[in-house]
Amino acid sequence: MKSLALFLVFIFATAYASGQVVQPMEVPPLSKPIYKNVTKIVIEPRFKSIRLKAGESVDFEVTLKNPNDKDVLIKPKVISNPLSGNAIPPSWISFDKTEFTLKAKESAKVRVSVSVPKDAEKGFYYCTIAFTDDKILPPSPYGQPIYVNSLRLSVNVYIPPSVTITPRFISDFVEAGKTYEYKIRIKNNADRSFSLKPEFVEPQYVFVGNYLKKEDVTIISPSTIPPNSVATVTVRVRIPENAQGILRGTVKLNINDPGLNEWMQRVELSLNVFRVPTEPFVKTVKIQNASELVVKVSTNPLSGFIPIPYWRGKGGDIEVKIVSPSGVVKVRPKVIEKIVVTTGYSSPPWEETEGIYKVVSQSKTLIYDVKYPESGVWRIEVLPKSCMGFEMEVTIE
Amino acid sequence: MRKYIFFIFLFLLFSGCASKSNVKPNLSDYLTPFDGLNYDNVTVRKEGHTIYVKARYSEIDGEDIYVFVDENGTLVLKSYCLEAIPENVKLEAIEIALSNETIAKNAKGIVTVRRILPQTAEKFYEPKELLSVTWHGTKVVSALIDLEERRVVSVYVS
Repeated sequence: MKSLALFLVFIFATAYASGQVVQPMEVPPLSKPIYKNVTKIVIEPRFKSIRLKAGESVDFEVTLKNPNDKDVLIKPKVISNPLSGNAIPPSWISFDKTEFTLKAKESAKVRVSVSVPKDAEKGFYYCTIAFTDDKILPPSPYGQPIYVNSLRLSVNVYIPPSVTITPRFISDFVEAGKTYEYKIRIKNNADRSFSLKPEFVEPQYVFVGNYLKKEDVTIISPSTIPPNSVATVTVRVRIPENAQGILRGTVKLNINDPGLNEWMQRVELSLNVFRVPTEPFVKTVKIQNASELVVKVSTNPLSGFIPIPYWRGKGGDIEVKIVSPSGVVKVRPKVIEKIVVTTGYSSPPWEETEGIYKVVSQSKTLIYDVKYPESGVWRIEVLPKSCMGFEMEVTIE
Repeated sequence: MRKYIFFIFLFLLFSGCASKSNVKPNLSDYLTPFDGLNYDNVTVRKEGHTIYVKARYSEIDGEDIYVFVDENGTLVLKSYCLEAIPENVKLEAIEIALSNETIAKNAKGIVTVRRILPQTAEKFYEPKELLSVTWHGTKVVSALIDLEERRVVSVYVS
């Protein structure tokens, strides 16, 4: 209808622009009507998400309301969309009512049972449950019919892992030229044994920092984890003499526990080749007949490609010493803590975080105010304690 | 012991609404922990009809927050912020996000990685769990990630 209107507007606009009289013409039908014999009823809920172990089942209730003046035939069925990920086979779903008439202005409940077979694989499965045959046929010949009286069902099939791995992430400060050893503890909570074949994998994509080479990593590991026991995998890493920045890599444990996803049995290494400064940074300032010296030092909230574990940008800590020509000046700093909190207002549309407070960064500022500072050369010494950097601002009046 | 305390708390929490509607919502049915895991610590706070749930795992850093509204014994999820995600998964999601040119050019600020539940994901892609990698700087820049397929399925720049 909209297209027809646009078409007519186009004809009139063309006629107006050219100053010609347009003869009435027959407009051919644009396409077949897509709505045909559709009776809409109310389905609650329209979407259902379920999480089940393989072999488990669950029931849920769907409310159907018929606001129309005519009765509607309810005949629930499973529609699996072959184009949309793993389809839920109709054999997983059953209904307490297979066919009934929902009278005008009345409502009814249908109980849906979902049973996941024992041999189902992990993953997300989807389907549509249509309660009537009312559907819209999309204009494209390749489109799937849309059932208007339906709910979308998503089933997350999971298998709880039998083994636990700690740590899953190894982060350390390291020095170039040295060798480090890390232990991975694998606990088997099951009554059966699992095989284990760890390997070191260089990162596939390197957007953050550098990476560890295979030749620099040695793994010592047993090949099985007996039932109800703990196995230890030792990862020995040699840091090359010329290493810089953050070295990354992955130990893939390759445990044959069906409950473990690929990501669950990866232990990520993130080694920061960095010498923590032990001597403070020194800034000297020359003061002559000043009435005030203000030193402002802020921990640097980390941003961008932040190396773990600092990416959450904790407040951090710094040690500041102010030294006048006569010695250390004892002055109590004013402390300002800055936090950035999101409430979901400016979140991307897929983050439904409205009303939830989340601190996304923290920083600390120390302000030292010295009145009538003594003339001469002053030293400001700053030693970062638990932050990666700082900002300093010196004001002399 | 902690689990028992939690269930006693839940019983007390919902005993009021159960008497009205004869429905006892089981909170664990409404929580969606990360794949294959179970929460080790769950706290519940109720303000009127709004229920705030904070959940944690012992092995994973971060917190999952759910906000529900109790509608006659049925909990309706109003908002959520699920940040308890293994570090290696977060890092992988960031890498995938940065493989997108728009993201790589605009990503500045503090980065967060959050799980997106299937009911939300369906509106933008498919009803499956996705990850949202967002940089909070002068602009909000975000990538919606399908970790299984290792690809960015949608991009947002404020």
